[in-house]
Amino acid sequence: MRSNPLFATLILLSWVAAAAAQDGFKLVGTAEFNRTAPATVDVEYTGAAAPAADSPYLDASNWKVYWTAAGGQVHVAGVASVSADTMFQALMLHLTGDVPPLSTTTWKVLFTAQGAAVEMPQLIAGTPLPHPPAQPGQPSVAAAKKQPFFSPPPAGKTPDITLTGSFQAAGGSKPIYALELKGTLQSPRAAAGFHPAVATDIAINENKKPPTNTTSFNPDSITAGLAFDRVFAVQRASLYGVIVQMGLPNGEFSASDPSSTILFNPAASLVLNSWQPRAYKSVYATLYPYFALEAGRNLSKPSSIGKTPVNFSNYNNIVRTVLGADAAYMVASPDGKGNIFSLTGTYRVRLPEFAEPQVRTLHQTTAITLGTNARHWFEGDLNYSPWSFKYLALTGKYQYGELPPLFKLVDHSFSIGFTLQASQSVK
Amino acid sequence: MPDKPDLTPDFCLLVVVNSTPKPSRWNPQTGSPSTTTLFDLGVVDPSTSQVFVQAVKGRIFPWHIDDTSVTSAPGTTLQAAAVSVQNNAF
Repeated sequence: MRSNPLFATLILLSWVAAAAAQDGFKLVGTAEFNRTAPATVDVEYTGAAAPAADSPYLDASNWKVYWTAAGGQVHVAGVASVSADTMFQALMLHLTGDVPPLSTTTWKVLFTAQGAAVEMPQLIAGTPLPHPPAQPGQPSVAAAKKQPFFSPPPAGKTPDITLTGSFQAAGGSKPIYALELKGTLQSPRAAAGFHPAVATDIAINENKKPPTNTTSFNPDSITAGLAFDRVFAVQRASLYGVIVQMGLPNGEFSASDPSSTILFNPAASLVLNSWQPRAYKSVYATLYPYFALEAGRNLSKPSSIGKTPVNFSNYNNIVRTVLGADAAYMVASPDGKGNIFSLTGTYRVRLPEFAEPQVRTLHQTTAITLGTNARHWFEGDLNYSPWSFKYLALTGKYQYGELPPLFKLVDHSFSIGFTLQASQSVK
Repeated sequence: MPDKPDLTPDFCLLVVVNSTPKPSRWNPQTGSPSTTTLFDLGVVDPSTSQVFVQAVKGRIFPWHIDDTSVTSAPGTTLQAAAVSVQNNAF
């Protein structure tokens, strides 16, 4: 029987094409330049765990990497070998010869199957690096200059700065605008390992009630200070890390009562490993012990607070030890971008070294004393945002205790409310 | 200064996994870096995200990386975090 070479070739080509179609292997059309030694270009693929051992995609002679220098001259890098990274689903082209420099951002990968034409030629544009690599030890200043100062908060991250406003209207009253500016702006450059930041909390017209005859912007309280944050990764036993904050100085001024203080406030929060049951992956709980020292000076000595006469002549220095913890119990949403249910609690006890005021109002009688007794503060927040109706959240808050500077007693304060929330999807 | 290790995808993935609070929960035989998230390994909130970034920086030394270049939100997959390390280390 005579053999037919053309027939045999057709059968072979059909088998190869069928095998290629069967495993579904194909290039995604993206590639990344890796600064390893030797340098590689990672061409991403999909559809199969790995290309077959005899796949033309694993033949180095089928690949070419073109790149251009600053002057526009075109260079061609050789491909010494090709290997498959099955974990990241990428073909790693190990470059040789005229390898592009690290700063190259214009380059293309050409795949052309030699011999039997079982695959179409493919041209893949190189993915530019996020920023040109800087010299070791130096941040990429060029990249920082290109970025806008503000950007939308990434999913799952707390915004750095927030501005909350409300408008209140009532019969026989001018409108009341209430604003709260809260945030921390951090310098990208570290100083001795600490990142300087300006922390501020400004509340305007927060406690104003109608009727009012004028529309004005009077600050109720302003808290501003310079903070230096540093985060240490520990990873020993249950202690994951420590967040140290050196706040100096931190001034608080209030319009509702004649109080103002200036404080140096170093604090440390121990970040312990969270509790996450294996059976319920979306449930977790955290407990972070907190230690701080508050040291400073009283700047205000009024003769009376409200209608109660006071004697603050000996109220000068402020030194307090602060102990406490922040705890949370959360149920995360399925996509991990938020929480369906959260129950958080904050406890602080302040132990003054010098006598400080304490304001208590019982049966409409206000008593103001000076003392060194412990001042407790507890705040609990509950937030429930059903996944099926993500625009609405139920909120509850409980507060008890005393907060500086005047340590007015908040006696079991409950509040329950709704929060309507949405994000603009088309901007 | 020690020699710089190759910044391979596997090395970056190892750095990311070992920088989480619960690296023992990662099983390369049964888990996939494209579906396993940092949340699954204990990065659950902004505080643990901050510590995670510093742990990554410590583990890739003598390579350097900016704090903001490490993708560290709890919903981030291990693969996305490893790619952010690989693309931004210098």
